Amino acid sequence: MKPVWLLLIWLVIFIIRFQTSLQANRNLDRQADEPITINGRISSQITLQGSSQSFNVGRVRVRTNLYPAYHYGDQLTISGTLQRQVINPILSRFSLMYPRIEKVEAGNNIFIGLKERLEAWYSLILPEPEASLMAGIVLGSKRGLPLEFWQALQKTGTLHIVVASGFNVTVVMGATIFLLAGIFRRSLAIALGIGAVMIYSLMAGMEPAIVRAALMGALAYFGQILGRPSDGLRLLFLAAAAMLLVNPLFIFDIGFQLSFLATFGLILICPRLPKFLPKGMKESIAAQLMVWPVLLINFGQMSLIGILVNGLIVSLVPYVMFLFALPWLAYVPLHLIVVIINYFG
Amino acid sequence: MVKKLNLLLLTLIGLVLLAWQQWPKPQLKLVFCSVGQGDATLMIYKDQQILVDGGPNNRVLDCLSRHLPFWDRQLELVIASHAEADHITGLIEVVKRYQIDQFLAINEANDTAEWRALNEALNQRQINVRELIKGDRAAIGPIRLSWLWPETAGHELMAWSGGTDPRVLGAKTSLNQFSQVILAGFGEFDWLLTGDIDTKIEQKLVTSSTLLEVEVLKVAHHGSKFSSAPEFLTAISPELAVIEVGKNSFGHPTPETLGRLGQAGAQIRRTDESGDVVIVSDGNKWQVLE
Repeated sequence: MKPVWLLLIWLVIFIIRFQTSLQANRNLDRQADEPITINGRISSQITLQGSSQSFNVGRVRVRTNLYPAYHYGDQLTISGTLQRQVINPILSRFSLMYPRIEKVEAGNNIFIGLKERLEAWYSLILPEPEASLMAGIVLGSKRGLPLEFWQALQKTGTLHIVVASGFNVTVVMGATIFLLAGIFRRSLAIALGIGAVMIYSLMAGMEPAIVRAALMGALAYFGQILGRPSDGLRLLFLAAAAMLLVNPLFIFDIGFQLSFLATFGLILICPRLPKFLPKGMKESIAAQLMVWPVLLINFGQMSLIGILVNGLIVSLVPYVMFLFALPWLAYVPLHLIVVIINYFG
Repeated sequence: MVKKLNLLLLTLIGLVLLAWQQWPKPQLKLVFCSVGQGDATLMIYKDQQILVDGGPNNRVLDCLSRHLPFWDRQLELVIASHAEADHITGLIEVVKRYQIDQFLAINEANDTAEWRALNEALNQRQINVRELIKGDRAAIGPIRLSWLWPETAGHELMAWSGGTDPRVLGAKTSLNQFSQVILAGFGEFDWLLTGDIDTKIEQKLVTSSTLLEVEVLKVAHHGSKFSSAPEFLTAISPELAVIEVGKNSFGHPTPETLGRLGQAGAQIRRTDESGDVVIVSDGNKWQVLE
């Protein structure tokens, strides 16, 4: 079959899926500003902001007081007034602010349990924001970063080091393969690297954003070691096409746009940059150049600092990942990252 | 391999340098933490710390991280002045993350999610809760503490133990009137912590003549107009009044209170305007760090 036909078939399925997804959203639209009761499991990580916590239950974002504390996977009955926030002409976001919540059943997932144990251990040993930064880098957890530090990360274009991003997935895979390459055959090391990424994704709650990052990160890694940019690009487009079939609304997701473009830059631009630049700086330039338009449109800012800051810290992040079992030592690179980001932020 | 060892060596050198940079000085450091609408007060002498209240969120953790060296994960004494959310919410994570030698609270439960979470965290880490009342004294290193309030021990059973259902106050009784009031001193330098007491309790403190003149006052109840009466301020004549306050719908701190503090001759610092208010003292002289 010719590629054109494949593309057409894909397009038809995509449009049908897109329509049905929008319809589901419109159904919720009709209930906006009305009292509703929903039953469901928490399907995202819990984010703590100031005196509140928020999480997703299905399509709805829920915000409530810090306590009682909820966890990924908890089965809840929630009643409140559905609020609608328009993101663009055809899509809106739904939220329940401080609704009445009843916990029906506590979630229990061994990977999430493991993640929470590690998180608690880091916060026993390290001060803030180093403890949250460590949990962010190693576990993709964005639970409790202090607000000022979060803003500094955003300002310097380095938020991707604390959310489960394609970059972190690349680091997990790279670190595992690097550690095991001497012990096992290379193909086995790569297989174990993929296993490590799967555990990483499971611990981060298998959120769509994380699965996407895992796929993109794995692709970026293979795109680079294959050394043939064309193969990498082909894989990237294939993965993006598959993801858009699973959830067509990803196309509006800034995270999706950012990781697609950054991966694109790593595969296509990075190898063409002058050789005298350090590897970290080249990757930083390639990825940042591509994501600029998206950042500019959505956040109204694009900073030249981003390239410099990313270039400075990208080599520290893998080191922190290496030291995942030695948080005492990891304090040094973590503190260095904090100092750099606060200085530029 | 050599490269890896070099990196490790570099990290260890970094660790030593950071330890040297953060080594605590032999002086008193009194920190009124900027945690929003709520109280969190930290007192430090060398490697010993006392934390009074934890604010309405987890920002107290940032305050601890800013003022403690990175290796110190132990708090010698933690005090919950009274069990309201704007004083205890932050303590829940503090209890989970720090090793706490002594925990003091008043013997009153509060039927809120925050109180239950704090009680659960304390039980989980097997920390005993004790109550100190009027007339009691304690010392952490060279920091002296004496209790001016509450007056009597609440009940036979501590509200803060697992198992038994805590007795819960009726809706009309406010926990504020059970707030611990602590007079603290380091050498010649004295300061008064007032929790959320109102003028009624202040009047009792004035008549019982347990008060003395202090250098620094933690203004009661975030600058509420129902606290900080002129007679009380005259009795303690503070040189500096610190208001722990954030964005709120109560109008704290109120113009009335600010006026009374000014009339009493006190300088005013607010955590919502200055961030952490940090005072250092050698036991004789004292100053506010800018």
